[in-house]
Amino acid sequence: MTAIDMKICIKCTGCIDICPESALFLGEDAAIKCDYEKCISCGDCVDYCPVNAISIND
Amino acid sequence: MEEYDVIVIGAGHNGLTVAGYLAKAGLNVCVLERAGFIGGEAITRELTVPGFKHDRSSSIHGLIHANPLLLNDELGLLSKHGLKYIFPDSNMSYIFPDETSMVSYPDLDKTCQQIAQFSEKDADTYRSFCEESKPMLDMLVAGMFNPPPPLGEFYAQLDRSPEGQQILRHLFMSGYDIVNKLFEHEKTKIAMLKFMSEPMVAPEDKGTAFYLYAAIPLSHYFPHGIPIGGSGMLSEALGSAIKTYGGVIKVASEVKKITVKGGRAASVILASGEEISARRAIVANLDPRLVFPHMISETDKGFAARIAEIQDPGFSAILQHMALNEAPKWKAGEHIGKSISIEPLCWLENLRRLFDDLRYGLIPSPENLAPCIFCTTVLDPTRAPAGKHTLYLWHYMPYFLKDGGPRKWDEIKTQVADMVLDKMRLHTTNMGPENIIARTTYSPIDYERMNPNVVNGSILGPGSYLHQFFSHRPIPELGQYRTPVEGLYMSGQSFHPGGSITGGGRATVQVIMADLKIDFSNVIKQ
Ligand SMILES: Cc1cc2nc3c(=O)[nH]c(=O)nc-3n(C[C@H](O)[C@H](O)[C@H](O)COP(=O)(O)OP(=O)(O)OC[C@H]3O[C@@H](n4cnc5c(N)ncnc54)[C@H](O)[C@@H]3O)c2cc1C
Ligand code: SF4
Ligand code: SF4
Repeated sequence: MTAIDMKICIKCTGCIDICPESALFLGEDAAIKCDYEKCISCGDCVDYCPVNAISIND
Repeated sequence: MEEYDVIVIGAGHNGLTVAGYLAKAGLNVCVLERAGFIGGEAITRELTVPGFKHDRSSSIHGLIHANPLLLNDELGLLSKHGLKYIFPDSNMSYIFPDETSMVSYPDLDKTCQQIAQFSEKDADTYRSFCEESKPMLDMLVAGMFNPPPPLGEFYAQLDRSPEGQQILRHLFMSGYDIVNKLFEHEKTKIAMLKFMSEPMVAPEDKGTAFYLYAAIPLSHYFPHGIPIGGSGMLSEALGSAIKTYGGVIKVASEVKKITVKGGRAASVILASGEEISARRAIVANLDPRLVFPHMISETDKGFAARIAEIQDPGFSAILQHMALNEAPKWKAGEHIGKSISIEPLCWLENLRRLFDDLRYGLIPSPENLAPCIFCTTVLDPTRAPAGKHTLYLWHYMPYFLKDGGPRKWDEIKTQVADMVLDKMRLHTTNMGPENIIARTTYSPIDYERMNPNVVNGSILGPGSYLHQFFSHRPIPELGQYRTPVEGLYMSGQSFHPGGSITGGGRATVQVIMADLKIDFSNVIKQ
């Protein structure tokens, strides 16, 4: 499961476009969200995030 | 292995411009971009909550309107690729601490009337200043979108006439020296100094008077505009033109290495390990400090030392993006809100202290603040849900903080943002929490994190100093876009004509085409 720590995230929004499955999006609550139905845990967003705000846990 | 005629590294608007002209010339071009989208610092995205589109970095397009790329629509961006500009009636509204204001219009007469509220003499001086700078400006504009003239030749040309010699003398002085000499009223001086500091230069640094001579008159000859839909529409139009001419753009493709074979730049290696080769040229649209020695090590020690000497601007900035329920209501009058940029200023002594604070790596004191505010949705409502607005609240800030360095920004960013917002609140009546739907703030270090090309938070690339100018930008050896490695070229804000939305890649591409024996004049005629 992809977890985004919004206390660390700077909201560059870069991960949204990096995700090959379009699983990440900007939520109405102003946070970066992950649609777990779409996420394949590839880790591309983790590699991209410039502040290490994203982690993948089982 | 995939192979192209030319590879362009970095899809900033300058790299895209280079790729656009090369693709138009019939070359097989591939642009490689690290991020998942194109545009670099010319992008428009939802950054606060869904439905609100913000210019993440650049917002106002000025210089590019003097570029034949748009003037003659050389790549069809305006006629075929959906790029449309709004040119508002007024460029800037300066608000003074006593709530009086001075509006700068593209129209010189109207601007002079505004200055005359405070001093008739300053209004006359301003008019003659703009008129007298015209010949130098024409010279500058003519050279801006073509390969740079040798720095010495530019000076030599000025040195040939008494008027030119006078300008030359002034260029080496500071903006502050000249403003004090020319103008009498404090308010005129403050407005002029704030305006000329926009290239991220401190007005008391020697050699900054150049920006008085260039930026201020230029705003009357080439008005500022904003693309409908946002700054990113320029990048989208360039992307669309490249594809129409048969070029390829690959996002999520970070380049790690450039290989050299037989003394020539031959291929690039991506972070994924994939190698892509280039038959004729590789163009890095990046700060040279990202390329040498990280991507390429085949250069001599002396060159590396000169790269290390590149000087950053004296300061960076903090930028807050807000989603608003309603546009700001300005105490100084409703007309203020119609300008592209709204700038509540401090008094002259405070403005001087602001640049001292920045120089010493200090957070400016509240009384020294002078922000820049854009509410582009007043002019272009397409960027937010009906009736709602976006806000861009910008303030100069040091990148290296005296206490704690750049990383300290992570601790203090929100607190500093609040202080800048409080300054805006002094001049507005409706900027309480009930009006702010959401806010996203970027500190100087965040800009570098989002795009490595913003080295040390340098918003416009290497400092806009006279010694890093024209053919000397950022060092003489790279000033004509060629590098010590055959077949490898540089482009972007680190090179002539420098930072800002300029479409300066048009100058770079002429050098590349000359080496590839392609007639640039034929390409632009088509
Ligand atoms: C906060 C901010 C506000 C600004 N406001 C204005 C304004 O209002 N008006 C104005 O005229 N100018 C403004 N500017 C300046 C202007 O935006 C820039 O000077 C201009 O966009 C630079 O374009 P470029 O193509 O040279 O570089 P960039 O846009 O930086 O392009 C470089 C590209 O290379 C990519 N890249 C980096 N490393 C790699 C790699 N290893 N592999 C592949 N790709 C890579 C980056 O992701 C980026 O897309 C602003 C800049 C900032 C940062
Ligand atoms: S792990 Fe991969 S699929 Fe999942 S959100 Fe991140 S980039 Fe998308
Ligand atoms: S890449 Fe990281 S910092 Fe950027 S929006 Fe995604 S989680 Fe936040």
